[in-house]
Amino acid sequence: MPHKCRATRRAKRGLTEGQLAVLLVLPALIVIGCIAVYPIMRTVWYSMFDLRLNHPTRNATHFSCSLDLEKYADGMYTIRTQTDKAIQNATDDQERQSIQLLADVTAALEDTLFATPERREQLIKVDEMVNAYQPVSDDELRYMAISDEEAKALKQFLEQAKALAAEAMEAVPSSSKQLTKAAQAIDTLDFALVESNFTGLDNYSKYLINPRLWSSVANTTIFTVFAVSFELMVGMMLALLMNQNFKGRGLIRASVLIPWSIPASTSATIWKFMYDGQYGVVARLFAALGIIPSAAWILTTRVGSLFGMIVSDIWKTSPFMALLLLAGLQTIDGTLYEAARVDGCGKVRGFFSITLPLLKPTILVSVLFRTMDTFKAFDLPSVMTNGANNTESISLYAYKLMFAQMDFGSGSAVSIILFVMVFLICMFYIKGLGADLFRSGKE
Amino acid sequence: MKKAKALLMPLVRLIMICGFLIIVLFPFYWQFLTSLKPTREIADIALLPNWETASFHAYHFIMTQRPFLRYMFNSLMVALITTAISILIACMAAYALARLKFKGKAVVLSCILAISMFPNISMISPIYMTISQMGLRNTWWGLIIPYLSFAMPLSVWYLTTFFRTIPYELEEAAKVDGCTPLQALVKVIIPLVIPGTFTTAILIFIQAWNEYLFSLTINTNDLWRTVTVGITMFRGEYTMPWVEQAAAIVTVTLPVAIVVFMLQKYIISGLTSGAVKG
Repeated sequence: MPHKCRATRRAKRGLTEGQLAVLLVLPALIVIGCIAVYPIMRTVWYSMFDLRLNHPTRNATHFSCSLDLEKYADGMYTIRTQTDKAIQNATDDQERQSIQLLADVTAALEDTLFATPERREQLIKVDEMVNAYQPVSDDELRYMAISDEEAKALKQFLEQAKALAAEAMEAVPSSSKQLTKAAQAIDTLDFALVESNFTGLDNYSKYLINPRLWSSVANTTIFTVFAVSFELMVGMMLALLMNQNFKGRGLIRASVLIPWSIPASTSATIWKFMYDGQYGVVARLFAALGIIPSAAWILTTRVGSLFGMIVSDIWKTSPFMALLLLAGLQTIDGTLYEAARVDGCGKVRGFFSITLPLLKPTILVSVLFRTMDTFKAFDLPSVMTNGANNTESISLYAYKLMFAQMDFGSGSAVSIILFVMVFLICMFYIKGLGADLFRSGKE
Repeated sequence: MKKAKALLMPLVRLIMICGFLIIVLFPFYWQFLTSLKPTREIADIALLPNWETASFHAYHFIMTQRPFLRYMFNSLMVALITTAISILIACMAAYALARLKFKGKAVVLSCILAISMFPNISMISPIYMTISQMGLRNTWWGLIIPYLSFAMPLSVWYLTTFFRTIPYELEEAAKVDGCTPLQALVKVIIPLVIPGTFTTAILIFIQAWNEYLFSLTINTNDLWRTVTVGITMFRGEYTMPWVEQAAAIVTVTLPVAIVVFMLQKYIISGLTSGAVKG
């Protein structure tokens, strides 16, 4: 091929083939990087935090301690004004002293925390905004990073201040209204201190010994193993059937596409209705035939639900498996069977000695893809049982941790555990069984 | 003996085919049957509709009392825009990956295939938080952006496979006639790849239409739900509204089934030519 001259010709026009290629591939890579690769890395990052969206200070990742100046300024303002009022109300020196003690401690804290002019300035800015009832939406202004010692000092102050406020309240009953307000403000200061919620690998060590996680792994594995092996068997039968010449083959091929094309959530809804113990036609039919103990068995027991999920998944996906296998079957040279027949080889022997070995690459790749897809299953278990009777899949468990408990740290950790498992399954197929994913991608 | 066998084979095949068709189509038929029934009859197991009581009332109900058309419109727009964006960007990348010579091509392709298998659940926490911060929850874009995370790698993969099947000589000829690579792409390659692109578009559209997890978590406002989630959210106050749900399922499945039936040639070619994702 005349590469070299082509390349030089193009080089004169300004773009080499390589440069053009980079230019064309880049947009896709940027999009994929931003919305697929980066999120995975963020999930790994989140999984190392105690991240709770419904918690006032743990709803974002904080690698180090910081002070929420909005809450701080608000609380301090109340403490200052209320203690001032209480001091004015005080009738004798002893009362005044007891309140003054609280005021002094507060002032001392402010001096230690805001020793540098930059910090002072930041606090004054936030103070102005709080006084004007403006929300501080700029996170950089709002959160001031503090050292661990300062956080400790703040905590000590809070304890001391709480004790002093209680003492003052007892000593000065006349100002109890103001002092109660001050005490409440001290309590809210608890939330101004944003401690680091970095937990390292704690989420993993916690969840890797969590029985609920392992039972979801067991459910997912049972579901995957049974569903995929039956899909392979049924799909193979269908593929062999469709590979024959008969009238109406096109109709069959088209009809197999319909279960594949509908959403998994919709097929789960359809089957859930047919499995219903009271109204479900399939549940009652199976019960009448003695396949299952009772009509209610499918949706009310663990084994029953897993059985139901497996059957509906086989219904939905084996036709698709059949199409993949059919494509493989059609590449097998028909004369091989002719030759085998001449040599006195029967149909069954032909299937095991010719079809299966030649179809092995196709089988491996389709089974690999189906295994990974089934292992990630969320739609079907979510709609059919939503985890009732201990039928949670790993995805569903991670989802519940995140969106029912708002615990994004743990949920992310579980979802990364799933990610690693899917990766290991993939590696097992490729290295262990020799599945060649890129066969179709190679020239 | 031989004659009997020759007669028997097609018969066995016929029985198998019929059995298969019944199993595949029965659940849909049953939903249709249920959608016509009044609620008190849903436990009936008659295989034909009871014409005396059958009505399309449930269809009328979901169209007027439920934002069902809205769900369908949301699904349609989200899936269409996702498909359009991913095809547009993926076309360029796939052309380069299939046609041009550059370093690291194999690595890029294998990474893209690997990324297309990432579980959605492992990406959802940052995507959810970012979409929330950007204020895109309960909008079409709030779904389109996450959908691109699977649509984009898949379209690059499918399209690269298609682009490879086009004979290299045609491009060579165009180049000999003085076309730049870009002109070769626009004038020679694109007309040839339209069938493959169309097939890819159908596959991506179906994937986007069927998505459930992102849609469930990101668009929680009833007006912005997609059909996949909308159907599972049919809850009555005291009882499950099975009949209305059945009507909804029939309404959603029928157009998709018709389209799939008509475009089956493209879909099958797409699914079997190296595209392996279900």
